[in-house]
Amino acid sequence: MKKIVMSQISGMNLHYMLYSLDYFLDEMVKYEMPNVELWGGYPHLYSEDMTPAQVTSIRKKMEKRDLQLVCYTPEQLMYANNIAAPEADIRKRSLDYFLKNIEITAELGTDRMLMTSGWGYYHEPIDEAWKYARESLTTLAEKAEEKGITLLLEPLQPFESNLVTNVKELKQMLDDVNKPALKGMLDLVAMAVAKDTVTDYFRLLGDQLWHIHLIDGKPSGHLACGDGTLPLSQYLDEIAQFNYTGFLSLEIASTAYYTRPGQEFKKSVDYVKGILA
Amino acid sequence: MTHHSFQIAGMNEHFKRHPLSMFLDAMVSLEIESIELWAGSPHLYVEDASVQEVEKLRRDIQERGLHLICLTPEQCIYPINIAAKEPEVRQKSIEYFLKSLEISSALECKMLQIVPGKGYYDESTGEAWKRSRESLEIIAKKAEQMSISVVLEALEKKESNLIPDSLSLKKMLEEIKSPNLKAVVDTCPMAAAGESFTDCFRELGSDIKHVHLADSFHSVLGEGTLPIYQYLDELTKHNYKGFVTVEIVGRNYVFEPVKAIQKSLAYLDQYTVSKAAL
Repeated sequence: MKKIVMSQISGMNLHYMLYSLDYFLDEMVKYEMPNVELWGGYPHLYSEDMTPAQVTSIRKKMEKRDLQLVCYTPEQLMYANNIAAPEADIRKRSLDYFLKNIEITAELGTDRMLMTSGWGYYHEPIDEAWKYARESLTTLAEKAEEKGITLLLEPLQPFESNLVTNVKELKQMLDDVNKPALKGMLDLVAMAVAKDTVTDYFRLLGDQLWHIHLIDGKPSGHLACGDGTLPLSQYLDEIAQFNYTGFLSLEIASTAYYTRPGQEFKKSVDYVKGILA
Repeated sequence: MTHHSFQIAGMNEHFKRHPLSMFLDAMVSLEIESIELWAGSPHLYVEDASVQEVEKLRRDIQERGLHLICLTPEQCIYPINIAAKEPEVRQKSIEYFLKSLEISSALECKMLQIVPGKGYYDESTGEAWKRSRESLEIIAKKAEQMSISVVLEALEKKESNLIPDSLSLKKMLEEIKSPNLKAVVDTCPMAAAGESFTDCFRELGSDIKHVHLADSFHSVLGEGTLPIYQYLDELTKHNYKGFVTVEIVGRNYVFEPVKAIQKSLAYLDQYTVSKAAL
């Protein structure tokens, strides 16, 4: 039977946001996690504050520690950005933000950047917002292609967005944009919340499924692995049966973990090791 | 509601997936005259806000007969930190609040809410405390010139490592000693610190100029685990005469934000002052 292996697992810095970037990188070394998906947000890497020299210094910090950057994930939701906003000025600010982050992806030395769809006002029909999301993603995918970068579109949860929140909508957006530099990804919490299955994702997306966030939830929550109710062992088996060879990032994000990030990271790694053993 | 002297204000943060006009209209229909404005995108993004946009907002508020009692720029999830170690981030953050004071003034609002920022948790807090104090001094000085009260709020340990409780909040106010730097008490960090309003009034007394009332995890009043009615009794007992803003932030309230406020108001309507408080 096919198995996911530990070398496909990557660590992530979102729940280390109260600590310095150096602290996070040292922790990845300490917990023997060579793969990193880097969240781009304050205080680790906020694109608006970054000079190219600072980005280069972050790349060197990772190289020095023999850490491999598997994906760069600029903060999508917390800041004042929304690529599907009906307000032209907000849309422009958001496009500029993500265009700059594509440059940063290249400077960091990776070829993958995570994206989400933005959102429309919840009391309005989604047609207009969907159109803006499609146009923005098209612009970004064209820029990414020039730079040799692939954007990974991640579904959001309904409290975050009313556009791409399940695998059908993800497939629809990928088809609507229809650019080689825009692929899909699977976040296990968003999947469970939408009542989709791993099989749905692989059947609908096929070879367009490029990345996975491995995370627990109830079903929402982005909890440490083992803290939620999701059948992670079963998910990992299913993922393996589809011959998935990409990375699975431990995207721990609940604020409850912010003051003890290492403990929660280690717990998740140990839990996944137990499943894969 | 009867037998108490404070007034209730509404707030727009959980309307962030809806236009600001929906919030303002809801305040009119729910007959809440006083509002506290969360300033964040898409409602009002301080960094990009133009004079024209602010003037339009002033008219939108005035035309509806509403009264803006406090401006609360987003500063917990935005990359804003007045205690930042990086000088450029700290400078940007100070400017964010200086511009927020200008916007407050243009909106004819006499109060601005602020948090202390934070230091890295893998470093000692001494230097971050100093940076926070220096930033607050600059902001308070400008507030003095503009006759605006800046109200400082404690934060839970998962949000900041500088001011977790009323004692540390008092220490900061005493170190700065500005007549325009006062305190706001939010029931969530208050409860997280194991404190009650009685503790806060003992430490801060009349420096408490504002109150954020929220149930646990900033949920709708009555849907969490905090002793809201006991808190209201305490406010009555301490003869608090300022505003009490119902601050709702929980993620599940973005779908039906008006209903969340209605439920909170219904919960407040059931409150009657206990005899012990009088």
